[in-house]
Amino acid sequence: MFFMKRVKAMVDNFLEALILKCLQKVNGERSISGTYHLLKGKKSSQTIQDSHLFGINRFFGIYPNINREELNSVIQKFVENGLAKKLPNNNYAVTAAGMKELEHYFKKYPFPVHVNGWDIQNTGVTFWKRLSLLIQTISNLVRKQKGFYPIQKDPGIQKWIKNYISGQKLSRQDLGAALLKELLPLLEEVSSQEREIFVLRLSSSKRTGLTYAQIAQQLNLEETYVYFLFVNVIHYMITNIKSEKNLYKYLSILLEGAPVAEKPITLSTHTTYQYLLNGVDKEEVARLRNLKVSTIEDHIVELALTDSHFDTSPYLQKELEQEIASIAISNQTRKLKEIKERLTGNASYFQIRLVLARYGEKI
Amino acid sequence: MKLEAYLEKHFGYTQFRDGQKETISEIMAGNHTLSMLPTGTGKSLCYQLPVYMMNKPAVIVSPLLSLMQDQAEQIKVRGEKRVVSFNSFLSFEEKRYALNNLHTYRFIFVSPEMLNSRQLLAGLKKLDIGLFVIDEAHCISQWGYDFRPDYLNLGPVRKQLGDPLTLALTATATPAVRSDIIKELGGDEFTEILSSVDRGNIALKAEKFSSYEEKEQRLLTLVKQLQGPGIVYFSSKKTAETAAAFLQTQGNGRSAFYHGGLEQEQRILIQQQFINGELDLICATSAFGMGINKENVRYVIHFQMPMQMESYVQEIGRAGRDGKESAAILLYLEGDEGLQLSFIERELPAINQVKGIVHYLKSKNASSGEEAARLLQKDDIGALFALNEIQLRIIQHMLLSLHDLQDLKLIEAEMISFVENRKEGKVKKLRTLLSWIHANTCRRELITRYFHQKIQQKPEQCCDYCGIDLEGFYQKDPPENPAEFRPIFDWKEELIEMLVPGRNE
Repeated sequence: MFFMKRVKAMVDNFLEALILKCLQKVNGERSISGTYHLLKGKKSSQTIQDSHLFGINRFFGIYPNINREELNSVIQKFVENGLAKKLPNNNYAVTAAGMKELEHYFKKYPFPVHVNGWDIQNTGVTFWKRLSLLIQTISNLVRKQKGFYPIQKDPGIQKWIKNYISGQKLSRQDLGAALLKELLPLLEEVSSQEREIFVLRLSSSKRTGLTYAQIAQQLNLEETYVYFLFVNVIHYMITNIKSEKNLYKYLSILLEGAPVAEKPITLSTHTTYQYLLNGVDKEEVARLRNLKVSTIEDHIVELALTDSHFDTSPYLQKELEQEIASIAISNQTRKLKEIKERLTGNASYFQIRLVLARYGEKI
Repeated sequence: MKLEAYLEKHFGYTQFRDGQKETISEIMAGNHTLSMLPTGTGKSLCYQLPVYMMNKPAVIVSPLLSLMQDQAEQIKVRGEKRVVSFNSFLSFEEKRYALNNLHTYRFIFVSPEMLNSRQLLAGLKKLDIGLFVIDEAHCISQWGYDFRPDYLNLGPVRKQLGDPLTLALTATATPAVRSDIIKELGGDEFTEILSSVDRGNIALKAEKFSSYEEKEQRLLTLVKQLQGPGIVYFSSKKTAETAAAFLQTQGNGRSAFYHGGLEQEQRILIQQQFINGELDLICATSAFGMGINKENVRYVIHFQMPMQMESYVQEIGRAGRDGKESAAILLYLEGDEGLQLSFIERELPAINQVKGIVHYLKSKNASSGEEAARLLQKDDIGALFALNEIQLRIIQHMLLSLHDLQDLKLIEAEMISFVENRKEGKVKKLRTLLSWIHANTCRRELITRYFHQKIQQKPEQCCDYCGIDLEGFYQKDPPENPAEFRPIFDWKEELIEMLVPGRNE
């Protein structure tokens, strides 16, 4: 067989470390499906709420290429290696050995700090598609080379770049120079590995961009780590461009109209929100929309998570909110049942979830 | 004006390739045409030129998104702007715009699923369609190697469009598949243009092994000796990956793997690197090759046998499109067919799955085939009965062809016999390919005979039975030290060079 001899490591790559990290954060309170949907970036109330609840919303949608079988086999491996164990409820928890391995692994390969899946969402993908095609196009145009094969196949992106270029008053040469001037300082701020990865990924008139695997080989890194470092650069760029639009005149245009809602909530939640804003109470919304009350409650929790100004007072009295929060914080728990049992008075699971949504990251 | 004059005027070529002129003449004479032209001989010219000559638009149905994109792109790169592709990539606004301006396009590409759209169909009906083109037409035949249930809709669609002049294109189709194509398209009379499936500049060889290690070593030797660029085909993604890694550690730096499991952008990069000559070797599954225009592929190796002769001919046909001498080598280890047998099993629904589905429909009181097919879509049945997407589509298609569901017992029997027939047919085809591997006669003759054709002339480098000299395909001066994958680079210099060339100096 084509197998290469390799010393068996506990965690084989960065993606695995990330999965283990998710298991640790979720702490056996959700099934593996939760982690799967999180990495895929599923826009369901459950996934969005959980990602905030467990403090892992930066991982939201950052590895959409994950598949279930792969995830299951990684977790199976963790169990065999003693890094995780199966709980009676069929969920998984990280063992002491797993914790140690995590600490060890992230010391060696620090988690890319700018990665923020929740805030950036699909903007990252769109930004890269536009930027890479823009650079390829300019690189060909300034050399007067026509008729190249665009590296991005999405016709929407192609059309967008065409409009972008024809909409600029600058000559192509000047546009190239202007982009360079904006890109250089951004790249100077990331690590040398990261900027090499970024440039290697680009295609020009002279060469085709490299795949993650090829870059990994060239820089002697591991493939999934290359991927996350790349995402890190992209997210870093976007965060900076957004906060100082006047400094990045030409790059900031690339973020315009990127398909992400300012408030990334599900469509259904948005509809519910409109009703609530009009003073309709949740039972009535359920009746009007022909949905279960519990579904509307899911929407409300989601709104509390995504909008820090969302008013929860119609559902929750201040004293109750404080009591629930203090139980959760002092006992370091997010288990609804446990919190309910410790309460002096009475509260619904909905109310407890609402508090957890508000205080999630402090717990 | 003669056809050649049109060719030169619009494309700048002075000569047609094999089969192009014959096909175009038939179309211009107003005859429905089925054209079997080998891959890479410019099938798309057969509809492009008539569009300009008739000054009427062509509607082109293409089975694969990537294939459609590539063809549309190639036409655009030539400078033609009046091209549109209707596929899932189009946004709502773009689709609306394209629909409102349908009459302005010369080339309208559509995916078969898109033809289910009433709006699009209504728009197409208003056009004076010059030519209705079905690319990869063998996909319409359930006996073809790449059956796509969506294609079965093309017959009815064609009728709705008022039987436009039709061109069905395919690279490899047996007589049975060809008659199936014509039947499914509505039974009109079709002129068949059949160029030979034989590619005289591709030498054929099959080698047999008794152990995996031996075969693997042979692969290593071959890719080291043979003049590239080359493609090695594998049946599984995993093997393609591990083999690529193995070859790389053995000094084949300029190689990569390609399969459908890779993210789209990574796939495009590999494809582009190979076309641009930045890679010499691709370890791939059958997902690689469709729509890739690369003239100078010098060899195709099959590390595992394909499922049937049609796929084999299609895959080796990616070698030597420039007409220069190339080699096709199949490496066979006893039992290799087992993998393909298991694929056949997986592609078709099992008997008990069919029974389960029928039972389910009974419980839901489905009254018509259409309703039943819809039920299967809505209820996430795939997961429930452990059916994969292809299996589910096959079942849905069978249901759609039924008018009423009165006698479910009968339907169950029909479905089971369909599945069994299809399985049997596939196994038979696999056996035929297997016997080709073991044959003690001219391989070229056997291939042409399979398609009911004859060889015009045997080339010098024919096959391992007639005798070939593989050394003729070796690299003239093999590099002593394979170069580094890529030289060390300076990120800044490189970025400057991309955007402001010349500033570095």
